[in-house]
Amino acid sequence: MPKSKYIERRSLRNGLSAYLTAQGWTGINYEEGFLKDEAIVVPCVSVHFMPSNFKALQMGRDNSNSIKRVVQIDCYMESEPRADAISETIADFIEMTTVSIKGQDNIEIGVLTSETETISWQTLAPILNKPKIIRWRAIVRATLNAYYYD
Amino acid sequence: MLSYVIDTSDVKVFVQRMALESDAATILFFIEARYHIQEIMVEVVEQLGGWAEGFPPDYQAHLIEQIVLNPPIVESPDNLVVDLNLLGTYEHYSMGFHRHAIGSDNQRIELPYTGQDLKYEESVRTEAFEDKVVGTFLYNDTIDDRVNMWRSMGVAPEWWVLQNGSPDEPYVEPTPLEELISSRLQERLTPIYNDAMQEAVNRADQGWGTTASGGKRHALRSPTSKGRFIKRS
Repeated sequence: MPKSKYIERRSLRNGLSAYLTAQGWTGINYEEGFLKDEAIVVPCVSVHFMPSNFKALQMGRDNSNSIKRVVQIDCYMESEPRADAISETIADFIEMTTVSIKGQDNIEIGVLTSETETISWQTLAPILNKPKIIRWRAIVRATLNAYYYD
Repeated sequence: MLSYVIDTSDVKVFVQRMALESDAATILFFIEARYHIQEIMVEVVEQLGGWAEGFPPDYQAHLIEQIVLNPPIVESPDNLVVDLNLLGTYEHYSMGFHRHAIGSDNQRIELPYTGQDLKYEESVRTEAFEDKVVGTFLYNDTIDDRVNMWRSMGVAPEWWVLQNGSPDEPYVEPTPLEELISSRLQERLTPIYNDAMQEAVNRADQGWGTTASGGKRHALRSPTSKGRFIKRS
């Protein structure tokens, strides 16, 4: 099974949606990639892997089967407390959970772990004072290590 | 009774010399590091290539200009911190929104936008913006106006949209800006720092260098009078 950030992205999305559901977050639209304005349906959580060049992928690699990934999770929510709360829950998930990387046949081929000190999150207010479509954006960002089994 | 006497005077002298030498080396390293930080940040923003799809060239040029004019570095005696927030914040960025939109008082909004209520809801404004502004000279005017406003404020919040992306026009894919800068800095500065510290150790070890050794270079000593300090007026 080739290493692929798309497989990792899907695995992270699946792990995240299971965790958030278990924490009581229901009715969330889960997406992948960075979304344009018209594609966002609130409440929405989207998992995005940063574009990266070969050199960046090699940083920290020591002949083992590990790759560094920078991920960004955008949460578009109806209110500031919900945006704050979901971003902190996601930060906890990234810090505490080891995510299985599962291939197309659903067999675990590796794991994603986080570098705790790289996890950051912030919540942005809607642009308007009295918007008619309320959308708070929270951004969670972290560096993950993808370890593949030999 | 058998006792051992361990003479640590040499070690103490070395430790004192090392403290002075490492302070001097740190100052010199900081001066050199500032230059490299500025250069690396410009390189990273210049070499975006296919990344940050949609990032306007005018934003890119202004960001580089601001990094050169006022690099976002905080220096203290013990450390050197690169803080991109010093370039500008999301609040600065949002002051560039809604140029020429109609406010609830039927007046057109001019930059900086400071949170006024708007007359039309978002979907109507977005449609009008995409139909009448995007792809025309009005769009370029909007970008120019924003950049000129940020320039006059002495900030470059374009880094923020580059780092986090924007789902609105101009649509920009997020880029690992901080990660790229920090990894390249580490790559370039670690060997320079190690060399500087090794040099400090060598100097302390040899007992010569930039700092006073044995009192011979003590500025308060007179070369003609032995063991006496010069009376200062």
